[in-house]
Amino acid sequence: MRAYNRYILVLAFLFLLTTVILSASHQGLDVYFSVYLIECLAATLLFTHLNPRARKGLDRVSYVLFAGFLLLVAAEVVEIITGVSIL
Amino acid sequence: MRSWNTYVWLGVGLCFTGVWVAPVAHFLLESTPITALGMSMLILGAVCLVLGRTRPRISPEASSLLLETSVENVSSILEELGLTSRGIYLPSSKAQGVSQALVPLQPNPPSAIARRLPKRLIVKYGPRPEDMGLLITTPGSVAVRMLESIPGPTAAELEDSLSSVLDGLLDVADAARVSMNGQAVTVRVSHPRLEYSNVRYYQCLGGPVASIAAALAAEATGRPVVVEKEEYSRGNSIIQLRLLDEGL
Repeated sequence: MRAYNRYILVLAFLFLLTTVILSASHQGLDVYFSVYLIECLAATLLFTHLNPRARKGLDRVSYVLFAGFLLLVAAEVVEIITGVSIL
Repeated sequence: MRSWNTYVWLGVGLCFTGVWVAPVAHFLLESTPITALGMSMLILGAVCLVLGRTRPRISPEASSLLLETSVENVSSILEELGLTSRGIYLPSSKAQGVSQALVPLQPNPPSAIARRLPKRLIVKYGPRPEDMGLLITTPGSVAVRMLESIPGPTAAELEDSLSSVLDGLLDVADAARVSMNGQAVTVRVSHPRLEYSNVRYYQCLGGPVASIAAALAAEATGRPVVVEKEEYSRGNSIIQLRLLDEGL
C-alpha cells in the first residue's frame, strides 16, 4: 500500500475511533479538537519517509490546527476570567 | 493548471461534506459527536488536499514510457558494443560530482579506476589501452540527487535513506531492509513496483530498484559497488551488492 494511502487510512481510523470513544463519555468539542490535533501531529511524526514536499504541506496543516487549539485555550481563559462563554 | 488527482477529489469531497455537516450538527441538531465528525472530515480533507498537491504532474504511464525508452536505447548501445560485464556504480567523488555507473569494455573486472573520470560517455578508466568503458547515468544516479543529505556508511543509515527514497520520494516500494557483512550488502525490498525485464541494460546494471540501492550504497560508503544478484520471490526483491576496494 502506498505511503499516502497508509497515512490517510491511519488518520481516518484514529479520528473515527476518537469520535466513537469520546461520544460515549459526553465530552465537549474542545476535547475532540485537542485529541484530533495530537493524533494528527503523532501520525505525521511517525510517517518519517513521506515526501519532503508532503511533510512541508502537512506541517502547514499542523500549524493551522495548532492555531485553532490556541484559540480554544484563549476562549477557555476568557470564560474563566469573565464568566462569559464564547464557544 | 495542476491536475486534479484522486487525493484532491477526496480532499474536496471531505472538506465540502465537513463544511456543512459541522454547522448543521452544531446549530440545528446540537450534537457534539456529529459536529466533531464534521470537524474531523475538514481536517482529513485538508490533509488530502495537501497530499494531492505533492503528486507529480505527469502520469505514472508517462514516466514509465520515458524510463522504458531510455532503457531500450542504452540496451541497444550495450548490445551493439557487445558489452556483457557487470556495471560498477561509482560514488560522485569518482565521477565529476555525479553518481554514475561504469560498464567496462572488458569482461574482466578492472584492476584500477582513475581517481576522477571525465564527464563523457566513453571513458578511459585505467592505464592499460583496454581500460575503456561506458559511463552511464542510471535511475540510481538521479535518485541520489534527490536526497537532502548523503547517508552514512552503516547499514541502519543506508536502510533509512533507501526506505525514504523508495517509499517516500519515489513511491516504488513499501520498505527496504539492509544488512551488511564485510563487503557484501544485502537489500530486501518489499513489494517493488518497478519491474525487472530481461534486457541487456538490466543484465549489466541491475533493475531500477537495484540501481537505486547500488548508487545509494556507493554514495554512502564512498566505494564502488557492483550488483551481484537480484532475485524476486513472493513479491519481495532480494538484491546482493558487493562493495569494491576504495582504491580501485
